[in-house]
Amino acid sequence: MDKLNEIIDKYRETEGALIPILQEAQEAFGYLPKDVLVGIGKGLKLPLSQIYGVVTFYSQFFLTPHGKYTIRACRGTACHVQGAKKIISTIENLINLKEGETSPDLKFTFETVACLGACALSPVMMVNKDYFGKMTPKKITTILSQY
Amino acid sequence: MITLTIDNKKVVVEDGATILAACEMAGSKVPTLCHEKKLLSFGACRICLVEVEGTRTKFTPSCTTPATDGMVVKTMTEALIKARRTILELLLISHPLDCPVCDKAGECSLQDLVYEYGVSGNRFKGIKFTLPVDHISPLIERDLNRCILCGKCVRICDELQGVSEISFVNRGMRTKIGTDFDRPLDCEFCGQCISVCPVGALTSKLFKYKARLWELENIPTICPYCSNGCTLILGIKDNQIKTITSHDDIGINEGNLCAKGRFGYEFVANPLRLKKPLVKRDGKFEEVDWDEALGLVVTKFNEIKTDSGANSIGALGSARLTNEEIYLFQHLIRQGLGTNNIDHGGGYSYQGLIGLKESLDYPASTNSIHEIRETKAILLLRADLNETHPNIKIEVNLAINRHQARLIVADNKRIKLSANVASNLIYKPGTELTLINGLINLLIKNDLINKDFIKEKTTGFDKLLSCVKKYTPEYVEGICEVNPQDLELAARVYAEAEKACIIVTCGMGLCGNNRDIALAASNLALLTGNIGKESSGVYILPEKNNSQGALDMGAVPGFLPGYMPVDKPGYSAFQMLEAGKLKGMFIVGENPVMTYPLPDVQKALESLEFLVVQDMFMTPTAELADVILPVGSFAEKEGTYANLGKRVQKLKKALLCHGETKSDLEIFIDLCQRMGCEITTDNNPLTSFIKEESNPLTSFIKGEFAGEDKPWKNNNWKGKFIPVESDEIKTDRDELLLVSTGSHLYSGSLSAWSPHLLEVKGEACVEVNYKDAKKIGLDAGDPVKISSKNASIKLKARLSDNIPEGVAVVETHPLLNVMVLFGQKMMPIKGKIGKE
Repeated sequence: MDKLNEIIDKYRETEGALIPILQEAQEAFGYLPKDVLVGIGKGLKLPLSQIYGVVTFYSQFFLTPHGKYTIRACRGTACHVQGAKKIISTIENLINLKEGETSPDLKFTFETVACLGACALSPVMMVNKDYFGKMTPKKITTILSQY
Repeated sequence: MITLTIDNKKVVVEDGATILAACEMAGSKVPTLCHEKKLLSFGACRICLVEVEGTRTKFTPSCTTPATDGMVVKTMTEALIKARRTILELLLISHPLDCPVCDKAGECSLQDLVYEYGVSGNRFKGIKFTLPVDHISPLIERDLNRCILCGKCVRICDELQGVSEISFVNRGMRTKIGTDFDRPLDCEFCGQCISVCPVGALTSKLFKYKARLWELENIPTICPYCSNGCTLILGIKDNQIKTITSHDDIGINEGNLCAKGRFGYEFVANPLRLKKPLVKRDGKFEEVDWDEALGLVVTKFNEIKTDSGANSIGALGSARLTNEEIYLFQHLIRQGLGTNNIDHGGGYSYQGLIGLKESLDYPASTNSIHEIRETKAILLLRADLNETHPNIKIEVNLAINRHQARLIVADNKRIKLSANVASNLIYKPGTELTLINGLINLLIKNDLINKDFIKEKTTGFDKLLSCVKKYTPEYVEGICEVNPQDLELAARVYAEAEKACIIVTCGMGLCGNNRDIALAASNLALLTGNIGKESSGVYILPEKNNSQGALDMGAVPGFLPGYMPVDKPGYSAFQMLEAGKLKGMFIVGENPVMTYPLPDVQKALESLEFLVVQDMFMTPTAELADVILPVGSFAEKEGTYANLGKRVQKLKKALLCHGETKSDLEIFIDLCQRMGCEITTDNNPLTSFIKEESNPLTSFIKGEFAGEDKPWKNNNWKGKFIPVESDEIKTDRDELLLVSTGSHLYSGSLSAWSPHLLEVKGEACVEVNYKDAKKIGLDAGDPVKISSKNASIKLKARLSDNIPEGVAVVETHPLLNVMVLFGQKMMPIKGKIGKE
């Protein structure tokens, strides 16, 4: 909780600092557990219901533990045309997770997103902050084996 | 001012008014769903679209767009009707058409608009939601499938209530109104969200399947709970209250109600209510007729009077009675029985008002309730408004949120309103006077006082000056444990505001020093010239619906109606309850066994030769009576209550008598006649007080109702500085300082008989700090025994970091007398807590 207070203190003088605080808290704790939200509420004198509203509005915030590696597969139009469905099912089979799930050992979380903004490289996937373009089922196996 | 044309009609509106407000003024009806006059504009539903000539957009939302000069607005064109129909169709994609079982049917804005705009089919198809209905939360049922996301509930909970229990959750199609982590509601249960919900998403559980709204006869009357005097609208069917609602334009509450007002009506139809007079024979109660019961009362009291003198009879009235009833009661006691032994509220509940009378010559809050919202600084002095006066809290929230008022909270603990404070003064319990004297010292030192006002309008400044000399911030810190910076900040916030008010509650929790606190508050206000101008002054908030009236009408040992002093004051309530002092007592609407801080009340009452109790229920006090006279509730009688702003408001009889009960007034009239105590046409409440508009009793109340100016309007008026000081209470290391605060349900005279309200209240608790709990070895919910030198009681422990270390807060509870811990002095007391 010291860590959280540090983050809140950093933004104490800033108006409308809820989102950056949530981002940094998530960075620090891996996800946003209830205790952290309660702490933010006390620190910023904001009602918990409002913070919860913000957290559930943005897809970037998670209320449950996330895997060490978050795999995001794109299912946007360009990727769809280029066979995203196959990519998604390959990932699902390889790590044995359905979309939105996290592995029990907290290694992987698998998500699909509407567009990763890299259509020229479609089909695209991401692992944490790294992009991987022009994916094929074979390439996925090699990439995921590195993690 | 702005002139614009609406549907070919010219209207003039104030700067900043919205197009919607202008339309209303022009008499053009624009439909709305998310708009609510008392909330800020939101613009969620788009049904209020209008056409504004010369704008680039086709339609303009009227509720969020300010009117501008020369605007030409059309509110009902073909295109608008088509657009509104489309919006309704879109809402009906997901809104279930379960109107036949919906409690809102008949008053549903969506239903009305769909009917008005003739939307019969739907061009769009989509899925209906199947969210689970919240049946778990008490009092309020939430069916989010019916929700149209207008956000009114979220906004009223935030803007007016300051609770923010609910918020918009998720996004897009999955958006819903919810609590954090989807838990059941755990709020104040004011039900304000229900009152603004345009559809049936939020409904009252108490009303479920009770009646269709159009079957109800709606009768406005005055709330029987607190001294705010809200107007309730009773929904009556089959001689029963089926629901209670409110109306924005009726009453001083502007449609706002709290949990007690909205849900606290179950006592009226409680099957435990007494229906016939009872007389105790051989230790058992027997039902008798009125003639026998009242005959016995008169015979017995006359006997005692002849044998032992009138001074051996005493009477306790109640601040829940109407003005007319209290007037007649004291008339009966003084003229009929010949004694001044009459009191109410333990003799302490009105001491705050007496304090103001001494210093300002006005025994009531100096300003009216709605002035609070326009003030610039508020000092809440031991006033946990969320608990005691929820609708005054709305005024405070409005002042903070809409008028940038700054708030100072001075309390024994952190209260809910502490979240928005400029300065938070958590002082050691019982040291209020030292704290205020410290503030006064600082104001004088920093030259933040209004010297002209002090010179022209006050007396006794020199006395105050010498009294507060020693109260330096360091001295105050030593006693109150408030740090000097906080004190300094509070002094500045209060004194530098152009208008500032002080709000104090009285008659609740520990009120031993209520008179002195009122005097201290008044000193502070006089010092800064905050008396006699708008949105300033001192508010003394008493507990009960007619606390003001009970005092005005002279239900006290020392005053007649209108504050005329009596030659020989009678016994106070505490004196009457000393064992052996009296032979006979007449107790009306009070329950000393459960609410008085005296451990031996029961013994004193048992030792009486003759006790008459007049009540709705068989209370622990009534059980000791020789005769019980059953009475009608507020809904079954007429009369007037005076609220804390001295506004006199009429009750309306909504129900027929319950069983063979009579109203308190009828009983008093009958007794007056039997005792040969004169009721002339002038003072006969039945013929003149109620029926006629000009109620002769109002001359005793004066103030706002009688149109009389307040005393400070008189040029010769001078406020008196009356310095007040107190002793410090020292505790040993293993002791806690016990404190009691007023609670949401007060003493329980009505709420104890309203089961659903009690459910919200939960069990009686003592609140202690986590650290103290650890020292004693307590966990949350542990049964504990708490004892002082006066008594010991058993309750549950609640842990909280809102309570300072070394303090234990015992909330009053309808089903447990916690006041016995504190004894006659009614001040914080040393005590011990142990696991039971």
